[in-house]
Amino acid sequence: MSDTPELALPKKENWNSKLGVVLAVAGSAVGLGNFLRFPGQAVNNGGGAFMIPYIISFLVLGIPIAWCEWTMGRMGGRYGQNSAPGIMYALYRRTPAKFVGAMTLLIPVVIYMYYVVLEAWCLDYCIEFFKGGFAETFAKATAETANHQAEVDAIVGATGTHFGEHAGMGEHGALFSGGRMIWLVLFCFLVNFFIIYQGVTRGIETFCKWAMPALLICAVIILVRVLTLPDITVGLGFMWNPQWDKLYDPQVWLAASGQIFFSLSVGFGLILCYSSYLRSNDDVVLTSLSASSTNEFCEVILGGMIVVPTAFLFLGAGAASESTFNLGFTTIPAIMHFMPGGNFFGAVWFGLLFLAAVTSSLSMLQPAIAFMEDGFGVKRRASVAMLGVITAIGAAGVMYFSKGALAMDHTDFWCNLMMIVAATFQVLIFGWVIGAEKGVKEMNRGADVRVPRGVAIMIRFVTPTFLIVILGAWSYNKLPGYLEQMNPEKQGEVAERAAYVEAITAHFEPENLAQEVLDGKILGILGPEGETVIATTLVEWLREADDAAAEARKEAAADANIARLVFLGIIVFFILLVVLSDIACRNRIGRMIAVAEKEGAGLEAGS
Amino acid sequence: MNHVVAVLAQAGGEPGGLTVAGTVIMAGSILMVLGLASFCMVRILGEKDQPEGHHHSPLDIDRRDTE
Repeated sequence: MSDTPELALPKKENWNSKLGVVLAVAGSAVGLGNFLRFPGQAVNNGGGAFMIPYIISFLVLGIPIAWCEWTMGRMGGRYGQNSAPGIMYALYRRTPAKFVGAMTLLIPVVIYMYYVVLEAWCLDYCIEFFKGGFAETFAKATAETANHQAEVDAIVGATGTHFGEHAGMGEHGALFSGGRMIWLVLFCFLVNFFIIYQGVTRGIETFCKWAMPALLICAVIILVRVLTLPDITVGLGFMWNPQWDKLYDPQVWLAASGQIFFSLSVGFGLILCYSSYLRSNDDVVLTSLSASSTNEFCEVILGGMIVVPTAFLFLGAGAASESTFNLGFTTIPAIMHFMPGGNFFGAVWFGLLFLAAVTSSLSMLQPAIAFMEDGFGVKRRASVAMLGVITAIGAAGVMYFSKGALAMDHTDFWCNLMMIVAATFQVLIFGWVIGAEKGVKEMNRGADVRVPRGVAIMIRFVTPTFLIVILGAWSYNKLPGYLEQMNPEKQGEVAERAAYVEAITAHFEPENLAQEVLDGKILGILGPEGETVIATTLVEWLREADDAAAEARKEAAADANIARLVFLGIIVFFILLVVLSDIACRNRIGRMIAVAEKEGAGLEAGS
Repeated sequence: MNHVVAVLAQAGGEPGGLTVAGTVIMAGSILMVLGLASFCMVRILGEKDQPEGHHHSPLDIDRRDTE
């Protein structure tokens, strides 16, 4: 490296204040997962009992990984590196580091491609509540309902239809055939890139300094409203009463550790990037803990006491136990119909979700910007423009393949899997390459609250083991299903059978058969599940469903091919980033590190 | 609202309210998170920002780039 031409290190940008960096990192962590995913996970995994594995995961998994990332980021920053590939290259020169660097560069950029669409959904709902659009929809839907349950069904049905239409769930390309969603996504893009163009201090830090308090104020307003509802203890009981037997279920422990992992934004390069802008003696221990505790405040107190209790109170157990998307975009709007001042609170709620989403999406852009600047010396304007084009292409794909949120779902799955892989390698690099003892010593540099010695053992043994278990369990549970969804033949067969089952059910409907009898008839006509249905052998009356079955088969096979396309796109992008990272590290990043070392050696000698 | 509770009870929703264990877990979780967040914020706001600028220095680590 010594024979390469020297390079003047660019002027280093630093955070203006500790509070600024705490709010920026907390902003990156606080997102839809805190307000929507956490309550859904908790209520479906033991209610209050969920908090036991959740807190243990926070202490054993969340905090140590966050400390490792903060420390490695600050170490990389001392070499003038702000991007994951540069930071990894500064710390470890072997092949795994290159892959981890490229992976942690890829994950936030790819997540941004669908996250900006979620952001636009939140803004769309905020506008809809603000202008009273939902009130009109609800008035029409409940015009002829006779009792409370019918009203609930009508409202939930109306919000479900609204969500399906506005998110383009019905068919691919629906969002490009009119409507305001495309403009809202464009608006969100402009907001994000305008802020990111301003830089770390003037853009991200300034925005987060007002957005995070605004978000918290909005959430507290909603919380006060919720806690002053009559009979709210009924809803709180549904959310928090513990089901202790669930603690014997390993899936509950997996859900809790997964929630902590994904909630704290660890493992995918955001913290590495943000902490690299710290000064070399800035406190990483307390800053990291502050950002994590702010995230927990939003998740446990605000997320845990708002959505599920009110959903149960107004709509019942079914609506309160929905999946994240349904809870957020079908159940919550329905709640607002029953809540006094629902239009106002609905607008405030989705406004806060929008702010939470923006503070998160900003953090997804900065690592790639930093890589282009550090790795190739691209000016900010050009790097912002290039990243804008890349993410716009990806977001357009996510928006186009919107049926059943297909592209979004598959992108999210592969990114989640890579996050766990990347986090595992980062912790292993920290614990075994840098050395846990040495790493903790570096962690404690400038720390107001010092990390106990036991953390070194935890980082070396417990946390990576925990991560490997999560990775194994996550892959075992989810990977086969997602791989099967990428098989056009298999998906076609499943869809074809489903179409015939529908036709058989409709045929026997007048006879009002018991489900078991009906299942027996389906088995007799179509054969066992998993076997190919041979249309020519079917009974005559069922042949009328041939066209529908063939159409279903074709559509399902096409969707499987889209899922393959998403996977291949991510793989190609990853390989491209590995190559680019390698080129950058061998050239500009390598020279920058050499210069930083020389400067540092001079400083040490001078002192 | 009582009507809603009655409907839920009929539907098998068992709207029994918070149990003692539920209250303890909820209050404990809130206190833990509030305590941690307050402690951190008080320390962060009370700390003076480091006046020195950024400087580069070598780290005593083995990057494994030499055999």
